[in-house]
Amino acid sequence: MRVRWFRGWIGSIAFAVLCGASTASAADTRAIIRSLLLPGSGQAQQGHYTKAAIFSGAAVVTGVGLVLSQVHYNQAVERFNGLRETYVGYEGNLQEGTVVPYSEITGTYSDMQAAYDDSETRENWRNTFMVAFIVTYAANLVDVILSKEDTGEREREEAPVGMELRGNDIRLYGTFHF
Amino acid sequence: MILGLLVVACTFFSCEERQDFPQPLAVSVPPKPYNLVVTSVEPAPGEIVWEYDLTWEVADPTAVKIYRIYIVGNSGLKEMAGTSEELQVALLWVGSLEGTVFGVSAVSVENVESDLATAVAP
Repeated sequence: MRVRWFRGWIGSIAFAVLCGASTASAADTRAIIRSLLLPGSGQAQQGHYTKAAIFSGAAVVTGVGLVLSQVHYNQAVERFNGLRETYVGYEGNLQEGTVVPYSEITGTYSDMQAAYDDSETRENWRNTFMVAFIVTYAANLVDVILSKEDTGEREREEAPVGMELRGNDIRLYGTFHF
Repeated sequence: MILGLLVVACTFFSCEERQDFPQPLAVSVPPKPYNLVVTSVEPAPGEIVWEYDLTWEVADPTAVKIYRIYIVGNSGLKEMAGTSEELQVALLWVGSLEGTVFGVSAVSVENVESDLATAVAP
Protein backbone atom coordinates (compact mmCIF):
# COMPACT_ATOMS: atom_id res chain seq x y z
CA MET A 1 0.00 0.00 0.00
CA ARG A 2 2.79 2.42 0.94
CA VAL A 3 4.76 1.66 -2.21
CA ARG A 4 1.67 2.12 -4.40
CA TRP A 5 0.92 5.49 -2.77
CA PHE A 6 4.51 6.67 -3.26
CA ARG A 7 4.57 5.51 -6.90
CA GLY A 8 1.28 7.31 -7.49
CA TRP A 9 2.84 10.61 -6.46
CA ILE A 10 5.94 10.03 -8.55
CA GLY A 11 3.78 9.07 -11.54
CA SER A 12 1.65 12.21 -11.20
CA ILE A 13 4.74 14.42 -11.09
CA ALA A 14 6.26 12.68 -14.11
CA PHE A 15 2.99 13.05 -16.04
CA ALA A 16 2.83 16.78 -15.27
CA VAL A 17 6.44 17.25 -16.33
CA LEU A 18 5.90 15.40 -19.61
CA CYS A 19 2.74 17.39 -20.41
CA GLY A 20 4.49 20.65 -19.59
CA ALA A 21 7.64 19.82 -21.52
CA SER A 22 5.71 18.76 -24.62
CA THR A 23 4.00 22.17 -24.94
CA ALA A 24 6.82 24.44 -23.73
CA SER A 25 9.46 26.39 -25.61
CA ALA A 26 13.13 25.43 -25.44
CA ALA A 27 13.80 27.96 -22.66
CA ASP A 28 10.82 26.76 -20.68
CA THR A 29 11.91 23.15 -21.16
CA ARG A 30 15.33 24.00 -19.74
CA ALA A 31 13.62 25.68 -16.78
CA ILE A 32 11.44 22.60 -16.22
CA ILE A 33 14.45 20.31 -16.29
CA ARG A 34 16.29 22.60 -13.89
CA SER A 35 13.38 22.59 -11.47
CA LEU A 36 13.20 18.85 -11.81
CA LEU A 37 16.82 18.59 -10.71
CA LEU A 38 16.74 21.35 -8.12
CA PRO A 39 13.48 22.98 -7.02
CA GLY A 40 13.59 26.73 -7.52
CA SER A 41 16.39 26.75 -10.10
CA GLY A 42 13.91 26.80 -12.99
CA GLN A 43 12.15 29.78 -11.47
CA ALA A 44 15.54 31.48 -11.11
CA GLN A 45 16.21 30.94 -14.81
CA GLN A 46 12.84 32.47 -15.62
CA GLY A 47 13.74 35.51 -13.52
CA HIS A 48 11.36 34.80 -10.63
CA TYR A 49 13.93 35.02 -7.87
CA THR A 50 11.54 35.31 -4.94
CA LYS A 51 9.73 32.14 -5.93
CA ALA A 52 13.08 30.47 -6.58
CA ALA A 53 14.20 31.24 -3.02
CA ILE A 54 10.90 30.04 -1.58
CA PHE A 55 10.88 26.72 -3.47
CA SER A 56 14.54 25.93 -2.94
CA GLY A 57 14.32 26.80 0.76
CA ALA A 58 11.18 24.74 1.25
CA ALA A 59 12.73 21.80 -0.59
CA VAL A 60 15.86 21.89 1.55
CA VAL A 61 13.92 22.19 4.82
CA THR A 62 11.42 19.44 3.99
CA GLY A 63 14.13 17.20 2.46
CA VAL A 64 16.43 17.45 5.45
CA GLY A 65 13.47 17.03 7.79
CA LEU A 66 12.39 13.94 5.88
CA VAL A 67 15.80 12.27 6.06
CA LEU A 68 16.29 13.10 9.76
CA SER A 69 12.77 12.00 10.72
CA GLN A 70 13.27 8.76 8.78
CA VAL A 71 16.55 8.08 10.62
CA HIS A 72 14.89 8.78 13.97
CA TYR A 73 11.95 6.54 13.04
CA ASN A 74 14.32 3.70 12.13
CA GLN A 75 16.09 4.07 15.47
CA ALA A 76 12.79 4.02 17.39
CA VAL A 77 11.60 0.93 15.50
CA GLU A 78 14.92 -0.82 16.12
CA ARG A 79 14.63 -0.08 19.84
CA PHE A 80 11.02 -1.31 19.98
CA ASN A 81 11.81 -4.50 18.07
CA GLY A 82 14.71 -5.24 20.43
CA LEU A 83 12.57 -4.76 23.54
CA ARG A 84 9.78 -6.81 21.96
CA GLU A 85 12.19 -9.67 21.29
CA THR A 86 13.35 -9.55 24.92
CA TYR A 87 9.78 -9.48 26.23
CA VAL A 88 8.53 -12.31 24.05
CA GLY A 89 11.68 -14.26 24.96
CA TYR A 90 10.65 -14.24 28.64
CA GLU A 91 7.90 -16.74 27.86
CA GLY A 92 10.41 -19.25 26.51
CA ASN A 93 12.78 -18.60 29.42
CA LEU A 94 10.02 -19.24 31.97
CA GLN A 95 8.95 -22.45 30.23
CA GLU A 96 12.57 -23.65 30.21
CA GLY A 97 12.73 -23.12 33.99
CA THR A 98 14.75 -19.92 34.05
CA VAL A 99 13.65 -17.67 36.91
CA VAL A 100 12.76 -14.15 35.77
CA PRO A 101 12.01 -11.33 38.25
CA TYR A 102 8.51 -9.97 37.89
CA SER A 103 9.88 -6.42 38.12
CA GLU A 104 12.06 -7.13 35.07
CA ILE A 105 9.06 -8.37 33.06
CA THR A 106 6.93 -5.34 33.94
CA GLY A 107 9.86 -2.96 33.42
CA THR A 108 10.54 -4.33 29.95
CA TYR A 109 6.82 -4.11 29.12
CA SER A 110 6.75 -0.43 30.15
CA ASP A 111 9.88 0.34 28.12
CA MET A 112 8.42 -1.52 25.13
CA GLN A 113 5.16 0.45 25.37
CA ALA A 114 7.10 3.73 25.53
CA ALA A 115 9.26 2.71 22.55
CA TYR A 116 6.15 1.82 20.53
CA ASP A 117 4.53 5.18 21.29
CA ASP A 118 7.77 6.93 20.39
CA SER A 119 7.99 5.10 17.07
CA GLU A 120 4.39 6.10 16.26
CA THR A 121 5.16 9.75 16.97
CA ARG A 122 8.27 9.64 14.81
CA GLU A 123 6.35 7.87 12.05
CA ASN A 124 3.82 10.71 12.02
CA TRP A 125 6.64 13.24 11.73
CA ARG A 126 8.21 11.23 8.91
CA ASN A 127 4.90 11.12 7.02
CA THR A 128 4.36 14.84 7.54
CA PHE A 129 7.77 15.68 6.09
CA MET A 130 7.19 13.21 3.27
CA VAL A 131 3.95 14.89 2.22
CA ALA A 132 5.47 18.36 2.62
CA PHE A 133 8.45 17.39 0.47
CA ILE A 134 6.29 15.90 -2.28
CA VAL A 135 3.89 18.87 -2.26
CA THR A 136 6.84 21.28 -2.45
CA TYR A 137 8.38 19.36 -5.32
CA ALA A 138 5.10 19.08 -7.21
CA ALA A 139 4.18 22.73 -6.66
CA ASN A 140 7.63 23.72 -7.87
CA LEU A 141 7.14 21.79 -11.11
CA VAL A 142 3.59 23.00 -11.68
CA ASP A 143 4.72 26.58 -11.11
CA VAL A 144 7.64 26.39 -13.51
CA ILE A 145 5.42 24.80 -16.16
CA LEU A 146 2.73 27.47 -15.86
CA SER A 147 5.10 30.46 -15.49
CA LYS A 148 6.58 32.44 -18.34
CA GLU A 149 10.00 34.02 -18.46
CA ASP A 150 10.18 37.41 -16.76
CA THR A 151 11.58 39.73 -19.49
CA GLY A 152 11.30 42.86 -17.40
CA GLU A 153 8.67 44.36 -19.74
CA ARG A 154 5.51 45.80 -18.34
CA GLU A 155 2.30 46.26 -20.28
CA ARG A 156 1.90 49.91 -21.31
CA GLU A 157 -0.98 51.28 -19.37
CA GLU A 158 -3.13 53.89 -21.02
CA ALA A 159 -3.16 57.13 -19.08
CA PRO A 160 -6.57 57.78 -17.52
CA VAL A 161 -6.44 61.43 -18.59
CA GLY A 162 -5.22 62.67 -21.99
CA MET A 163 -4.87 65.79 -24.06
CA GLU A 164 -4.85 66.30 -27.83
CA LEU A 165 -4.75 69.19 -30.27
CA ARG A 166 -7.54 69.59 -32.79
CA GLY A 167 -6.92 72.61 -34.96
CA ASN A 168 -6.86 75.53 -32.62
CA ASP A 169 -8.58 73.62 -29.86
CA ILE A 170 -7.06 71.64 -27.06
CA ARG A 171 -9.16 68.69 -26.11
CA LEU A 172 -8.95 67.03 -22.66
CA TYR A 173 -10.43 63.62 -22.23
CA GLY A 174 -10.67 60.91 -19.57
CA THR A 175 -10.65 57.14 -19.98
CA PHE A 176 -12.58 54.73 -17.78
CA HIS A 177 -12.13 50.98 -17.64
CA PHE A 178 -14.88 48.61 -16.66
CA MET B 1 18.25 16.78 -5.81
CA ILE B 2 18.07 13.54 -7.78
CA LEU B 3 20.68 12.18 -5.38
CA GLY B 4 18.60 13.48 -2.50
CA LEU B 5 15.52 11.76 -3.86
CA LEU B 6 17.44 8.52 -4.19
CA VAL B 7 18.67 8.79 -0.61
CA VAL B 8 15.16 9.46 0.62
CA ALA B 9 13.73 6.60 -1.42
CA CYS B 10 16.43 4.19 -0.20
CA THR B 11 15.92 5.27 3.40
CA PHE B 12 12.16 4.98 3.04
CA PHE B 13 12.09 1.56 1.46
CA SER B 14 14.93 0.09 3.53
CA CYS B 15 13.37 1.13 6.83
CA GLU B 16 13.07 -1.55 9.44
CA GLU B 17 9.63 -3.11 9.67
CA ARG B 18 7.95 -2.44 13.00
CA GLN B 19 6.57 -5.63 14.44
CA ASP B 20 3.16 -5.91 16.05
CA PHE B 21 2.75 -5.06 19.70
CA PRO B 22 2.75 -8.38 21.59
CA GLN B 23 0.07 -9.64 23.94
CA PRO B 24 0.96 -9.34 27.65
CA LEU B 25 2.49 -12.50 29.10
CA ALA B 26 -0.01 -14.65 30.97
CA VAL B 27 1.90 -14.75 34.26
CA SER B 28 0.54 -14.07 37.72
CA VAL B 29 2.19 -11.81 40.26
CA PRO B 30 4.06 -13.99 42.80
CA PRO B 31 3.30 -13.27 46.46
CA LYS B 32 5.96 -11.13 48.07
CA PRO B 33 7.24 -12.41 51.46
CA TYR B 34 6.68 -10.20 54.47
CA ASN B 35 7.46 -10.12 58.19
CA LEU B 36 11.03 -11.28 57.54
CA VAL B 37 12.84 -11.75 60.82
CA VAL B 38 16.55 -12.51 61.20
CA THR B 39 17.95 -13.91 64.44
CA SER B 40 21.56 -14.85 65.09
CA VAL B 41 23.06 -17.54 67.26
CA GLU B 42 26.60 -16.80 68.44
CA PRO B 43 29.11 -19.59 68.06
CA ALA B 44 30.21 -21.58 71.09
CA PRO B 45 33.56 -20.64 72.64
CA GLY B 46 36.28 -21.79 70.31
CA GLU B 47 33.94 -21.95 67.30
CA ILE B 48 33.76 -19.37 64.47
CA VAL B 49 30.59 -20.40 62.64
CA TRP B 50 27.58 -18.15 63.21
CA GLU B 51 24.04 -19.35 62.63
CA TYR B 52 21.41 -17.00 61.19
CA ASP B 53 17.80 -18.08 61.30
CA LEU B 54 15.42 -16.37 58.88
CA THR B 55 11.64 -16.66 59.06
CA TRP B 56 8.97 -14.96 56.93
CA GLU B 57 5.37 -15.19 55.79
CA VAL B 58 3.55 -15.10 52.46
CA ALA B 59 -0.08 -14.54 51.55
CA ASP B 60 -0.45 -17.74 49.51
CA PRO B 61 2.25 -20.39 50.10
CA THR B 62 0.63 -22.76 47.59
CA ALA B 63 1.54 -20.38 44.73
CA VAL B 64 5.23 -20.53 45.65
CA LYS B 65 7.60 -23.17 44.34
CA ILE B 66 10.70 -22.06 46.21
CA TYR B 67 12.13 -19.16 48.18
CA ARG B 68 15.42 -17.51 47.38
CA ILE B 69 17.60 -15.99 50.11
CA TYR B 70 19.97 -13.17 49.23
CA ILE B 71 22.64 -11.07 50.91
CA VAL B 72 22.14 -7.52 49.69
CA GLY B 73 25.14 -5.23 49.37
CA ASN B 74 25.30 -1.50 50.01
CA SER B 75 25.10 -0.69 46.29
CA GLY B 76 21.96 -2.75 45.84
CA LEU B 77 23.77 -5.74 44.33
CA LYS B 78 22.51 -9.02 45.71
CA GLU B 79 24.13 -12.41 45.98
CA MET B 80 22.09 -15.57 46.44
CA ALA B 81 22.99 -17.26 49.72
CA GLY B 82 20.60 -20.19 49.50
CA THR B 83 17.12 -21.47 48.81
CA SER B 84 14.31 -22.91 50.88
CA GLU B 85 11.00 -24.62 50.25
CA GLU B 86 9.68 -23.65 53.66
CA LEU B 87 8.98 -20.39 55.43
CA GLN B 88 12.30 -20.48 57.23
CA VAL B 89 15.95 -21.19 56.65
CA ALA B 90 19.11 -21.47 58.75
CA LEU B 91 22.33 -20.11 57.30
CA LEU B 92 25.74 -20.99 58.69
CA TRP B 93 28.38 -18.35 58.15
CA VAL B 94 32.02 -18.11 59.10
CA GLY B 95 32.21 -14.81 60.99
CA SER B 96 29.65 -12.29 62.05
CA LEU B 97 27.21 -10.76 59.58
CA GLU B 98 25.99 -8.07 61.97
CA GLY B 99 24.40 -5.21 60.03
CA THR B 100 24.17 -7.25 56.83
CA VAL B 101 20.93 -6.94 54.87
CA PHE B 102 19.17 -10.24 54.10
CA GLY B 103 16.54 -10.51 51.40
CA VAL B 104 13.98 -13.19 50.64
CA SER B 105 11.99 -13.54 47.42
CA ALA B 106 9.35 -16.03 46.32
CA VAL B 107 9.56 -17.91 43.04
CA SER B 108 6.15 -18.90 41.70
CA VAL B 109 5.31 -22.15 39.99
CA GLU B 110 5.60 -20.20 36.71
CA ASN B 111 9.25 -19.37 37.60
CA VAL B 112 8.44 -15.70 38.15
CA GLU B 113 10.31 -14.15 41.06
CA SER B 114 8.73 -11.65 43.43
CA ASP B 115 10.26 -8.51 44.88
CA LEU B 116 12.50 -8.86 47.91
CA ALA B 117 11.51 -8.62 51.54
CA THR B 118 14.52 -7.37 53.48
CA ALA B 119 15.73 -7.32 57.07
CA VAL B 120 19.00 -6.44 58.79
CA ALA B 121 20.95 -9.06 60.69
CA PRO B 122 21.32 -8.23 64.44
